[in-house]
Amino acid sequence: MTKPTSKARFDELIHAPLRLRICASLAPVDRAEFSHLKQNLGVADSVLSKHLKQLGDAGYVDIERFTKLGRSHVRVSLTTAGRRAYVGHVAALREITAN
Amino acid sequence: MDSPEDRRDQERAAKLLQSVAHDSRQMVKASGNPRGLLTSVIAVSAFVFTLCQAYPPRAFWLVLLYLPLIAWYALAQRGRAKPRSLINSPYLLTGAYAGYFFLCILLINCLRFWEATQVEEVLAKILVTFTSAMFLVTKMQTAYNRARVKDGNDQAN
Repeated sequence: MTKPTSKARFDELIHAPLRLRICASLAPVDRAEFSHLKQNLGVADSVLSKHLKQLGDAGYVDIERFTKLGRSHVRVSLTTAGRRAYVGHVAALREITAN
Repeated sequence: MDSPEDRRDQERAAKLLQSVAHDSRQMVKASGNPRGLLTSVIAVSAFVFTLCQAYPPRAFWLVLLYLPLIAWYALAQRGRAKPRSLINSPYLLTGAYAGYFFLCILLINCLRFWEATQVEEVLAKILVTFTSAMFLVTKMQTAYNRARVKDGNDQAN
């Protein structure tokens, strides 16, 4: 297994199951559209929006709104701080299971 | 010995890690190319590769078969998540991915020695090329997806 590049650090904000799932879905991609993320997680728009807002307020995700061919889209990505916190949190979870 | 509370925490953490791996895998699969496209590319490649070798230069126009596949690829990319470029993936260079990649090259070179001239031979060669390439490319894809999930969960930069 590769060594995590972020120090193991438990993050209360990310620890909530759905927020952790959001981060896990965004981790292997540069960015994803809101609809794609919603489909991947199988949750309602309002629930996903609420959790994305909390992650956005903490500076963990970047939410970008744009219009393409007259249709509005929302694009979500993990910020550097968010990625670092997520990798640190996963490392902390691994430490708990290893003990 | 661990207290029951510690054990409960461990179980909860293990479940969360499973969910993390599952969601990352799902996203990697959803952001990749559709399975049908991969199968079609391999089928067309097996067909073109065999016929171009059996009946050159008459069969060169078969390369045009790639055009609809390119259009399909362009359509499939719309609205999909953009995969993260791999930063540090020893699994790709030293693991199963590299092994299957070299087997693919070996397969192509071996198949070039098989000179099919009769119709039955050509059909058999197409079938062998498709089956073996499909097996190797599927294995490569699996190894690549695994590396992407590991990279996403381990690399913060």
